[in-house]
Amino acid sequence: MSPQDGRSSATGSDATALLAAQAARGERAAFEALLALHGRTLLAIARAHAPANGRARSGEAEEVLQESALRAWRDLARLDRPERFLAWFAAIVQNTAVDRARREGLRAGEELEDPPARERGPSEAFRLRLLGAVQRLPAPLREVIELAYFAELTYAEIAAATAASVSTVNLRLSQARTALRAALEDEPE
Amino acid sequence: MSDERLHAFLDGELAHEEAEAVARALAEDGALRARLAELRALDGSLRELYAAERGAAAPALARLGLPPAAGPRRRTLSWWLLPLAAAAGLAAGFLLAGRRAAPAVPPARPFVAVATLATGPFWVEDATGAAREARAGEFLPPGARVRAPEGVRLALVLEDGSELRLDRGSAVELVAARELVLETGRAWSRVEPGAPFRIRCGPTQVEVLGTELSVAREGERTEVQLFHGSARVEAGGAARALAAGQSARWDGAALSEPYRIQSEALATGWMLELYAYSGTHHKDLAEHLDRLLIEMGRRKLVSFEERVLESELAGVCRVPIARYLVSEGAQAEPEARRKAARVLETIADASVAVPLVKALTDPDPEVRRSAARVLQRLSGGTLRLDPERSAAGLEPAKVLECETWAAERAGVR
Repeated sequence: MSPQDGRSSATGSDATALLAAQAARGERAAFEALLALHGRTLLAIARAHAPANGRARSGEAEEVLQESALRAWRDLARLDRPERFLAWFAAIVQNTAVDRARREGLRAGEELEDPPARERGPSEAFRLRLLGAVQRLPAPLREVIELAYFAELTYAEIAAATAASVSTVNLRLSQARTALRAALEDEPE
Repeated sequence: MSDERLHAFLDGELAHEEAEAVARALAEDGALRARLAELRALDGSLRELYAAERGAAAPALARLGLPPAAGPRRRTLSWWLLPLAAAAGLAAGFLLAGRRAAPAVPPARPFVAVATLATGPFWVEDATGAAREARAGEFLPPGARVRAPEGVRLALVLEDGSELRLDRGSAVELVAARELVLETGRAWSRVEPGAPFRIRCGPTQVEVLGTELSVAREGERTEVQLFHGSARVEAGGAARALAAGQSARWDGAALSEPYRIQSEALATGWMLELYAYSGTHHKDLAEHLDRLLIEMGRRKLVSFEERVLESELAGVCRVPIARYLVSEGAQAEPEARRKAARVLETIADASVAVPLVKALTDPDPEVRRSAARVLQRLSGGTLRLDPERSAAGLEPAKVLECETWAAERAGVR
């Protein structure tokens, strides 16, 4: 059987569609409200796709989100289905990350440097290994991990943000965790 | 058992009966328990890792003008219940559920409220007048005075479970568990049933029997808006009983007769920012947006002109108008509802299929006729709906067929 569908409130997505339609007509407050409602989700997607640049990774994700927000605001008039706003914006974030990686000659999600050698306690070392393993996941799996853990979204919410079905989200999350466990076992401390 | 199912169980994503089935299987199967334990360990590590990542991202979120990480989510109680649960000693159970940071631990000394959400630091003065800065999670003793600076809104849960939210620049004294003084600004409260709940506001005294109201004070003026339940307002020797949906005003000299609240959704719009802090699928946010949609639908109908049907505005109107059509509040406005149904005949698309199916069993035959017309159009004729037969009343099997069709469309969307 499948995980329960439709748990996320239909009202929430209606509100997104309404705000998006208003934003598309040039209402900046509506656009800002959309950013406030979905900012963490979008940042999670930016994190999943931003070129990893050693310790600057989180800064890079922030830049990606900022540039994406500008692009989205500029292109909003071309959003023809406001109810798909989140997936549309998520695609912009993904494209922006790819463009920036190309400009900088990096592969999206690629890790350039070793993590900084600070706080060498065992738990810190484990944390860095886990983060490294997440960064080496294929992009769609990295994305569900970021959305589930960074943005703390439910399956239905992840599905809306990635234009996937709930069962695909369920499948990807189980594949991602299986891959992470394997990566941690293959690479003992 | 499939991996996916076990992961969905871990994530609290299975429907109740399915989760029970998995729990039964776990009870009988040691190997399955071991698999779940491994998953749980990884889940715990990821959670810990990402809690730190979110902490590290907080400055970035602030720079982008976004709320910081939300409060507890998934498989948890509502955020506003957590402190009470903690007080009731339920914390251990929640930690087992594993989806959240440990709830704040109540202090040994008595408290009347706990601040559960704040969009920034706020001020607390104790009974001696000593002031200090406080943040969400703060337990407040009887007699404490809470002041929200300009730019900060906050939510409190009172000892009895009542909720209190303060707008920017408001100050309130928590005299006792069910007694408040609003010194300035605006407060909203959902009052738990029980003994009378008193809010004093200058010369105005409000006695609330339940359940939801807003009190605003600006200089000498006070306005009390009652959204649900009943309340009694007294000022200057006069008294008014308020029913749900009514408001009364004290202008410094006289207390007005009760009058109708224009829009509850607009009156409580200031709380949206707090909802954004508590996550996008917060129950109150859903309710608020629902009311907002219905209100928008009603307003759009009043000012609706035929030319709008052809314009880009049609897309913005269809959801609120459909929501309005099937709302409880609209039942007393038959003319507006018929107009809504007629307008939807032109502008409806699949996004409003679900409310339209609901309208098939509307008490008003004209509404049923319109709903049948538009569903016939949306389904490309496959629903085989005859508007006249629908106006006369459809058999339950037909309605069920339409419901199934609409649910599938909503899923596609």
